[in-house]
Amino acid sequence: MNTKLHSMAEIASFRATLDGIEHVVPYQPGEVLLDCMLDADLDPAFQCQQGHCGSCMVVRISGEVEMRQNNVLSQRDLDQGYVLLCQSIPLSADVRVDCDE
Amino acid sequence: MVLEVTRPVSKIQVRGNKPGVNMSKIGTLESVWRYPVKSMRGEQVEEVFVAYTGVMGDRLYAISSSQAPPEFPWHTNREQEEFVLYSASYKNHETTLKPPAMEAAFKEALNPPYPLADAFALEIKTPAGVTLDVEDPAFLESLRDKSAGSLRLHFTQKNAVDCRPLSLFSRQTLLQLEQETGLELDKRRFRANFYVNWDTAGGFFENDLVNRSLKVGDRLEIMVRELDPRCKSITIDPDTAETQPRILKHIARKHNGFAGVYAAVLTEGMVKPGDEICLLD
Repeated sequence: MNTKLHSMAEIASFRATLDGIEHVVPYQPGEVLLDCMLDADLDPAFQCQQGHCGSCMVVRISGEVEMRQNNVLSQRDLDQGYVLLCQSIPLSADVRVDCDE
Repeated sequence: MVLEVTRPVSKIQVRGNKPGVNMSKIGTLESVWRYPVKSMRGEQVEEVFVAYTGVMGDRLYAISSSQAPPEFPWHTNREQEEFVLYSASYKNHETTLKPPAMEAAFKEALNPPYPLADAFALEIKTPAGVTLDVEDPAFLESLRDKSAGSLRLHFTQKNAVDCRPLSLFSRQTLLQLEQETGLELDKRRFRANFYVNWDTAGGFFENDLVNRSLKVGDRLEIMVRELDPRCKSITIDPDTAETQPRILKHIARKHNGFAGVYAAVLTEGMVKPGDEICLLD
């Protein structure tokens, strides 16, 4: 296990760029990034919320996340930094994602 | 949830009614496509039989993966984008377009039987330009390079479609998406069986046809059953396999994730480009 990773309780927020604006999104322990963005009245693309469709794929710019499941992203997508908002839990306090890419 | 529809059915100008038949022409079939192997490049056909299971020869082959969930066991272009660069063609093309005894069966109000599985022998052309029989182990080997799971070839005459036997997508929806996104979009991204041109309606008109029955050509009758929820497949360029997530995100945010519709087949029949599409009810 990576000892540098934070416990979720230590993660207060993450950053998400949407429509060219970077938002600091409050993080609630145990929630996925998508739910936090919706709670913050942001409007990222999403659809199935089960990791199947790929509508919420975003580029991870920094930080570490863990996806609960992934039934749509290819190895090429993962190598390019894509993660699914609807499945991602932050593992570090410096998570930044770009929803516009 | 409100779906954007440019002109509701009730406001479409009705023309071409036949005496005694409550039918109005609303569009034309532009092209008919089938995908011999699920997720691979499709082929446009000039005239083809449409069965209760869908377009004859459509998605008769599919690749399953041991890593995929049992309810959707398929290895697709989502996991391996290069899949769209493989093309497939039936070795006996003509025998895969129409059941051999179709006219005689129709005359007796019977469901025309399909030919034996041998008639659907298939060959694959890989992105490297190598032609292989679909049963050749080298074909699956060429895919395994990029897959962590164990892959198997499936054959079925039931058509390995995701949801419904037929998918339909309009030129007007494509144009609207191009205008909204500023992207030049190849219609093949949407992998429909029927690409249609509405006479007077605008983009996403097909959304308003859910639960309506249509006649296509002389005999085929279909019922539009549901909107088509889109996934990563439409982000893949059919010629380069490069991905453009923006189109999927746009549809998710502006069109509730839907583009195009699925239909069920009520009466089997032949179709060809240029066929009239009429509302039956």
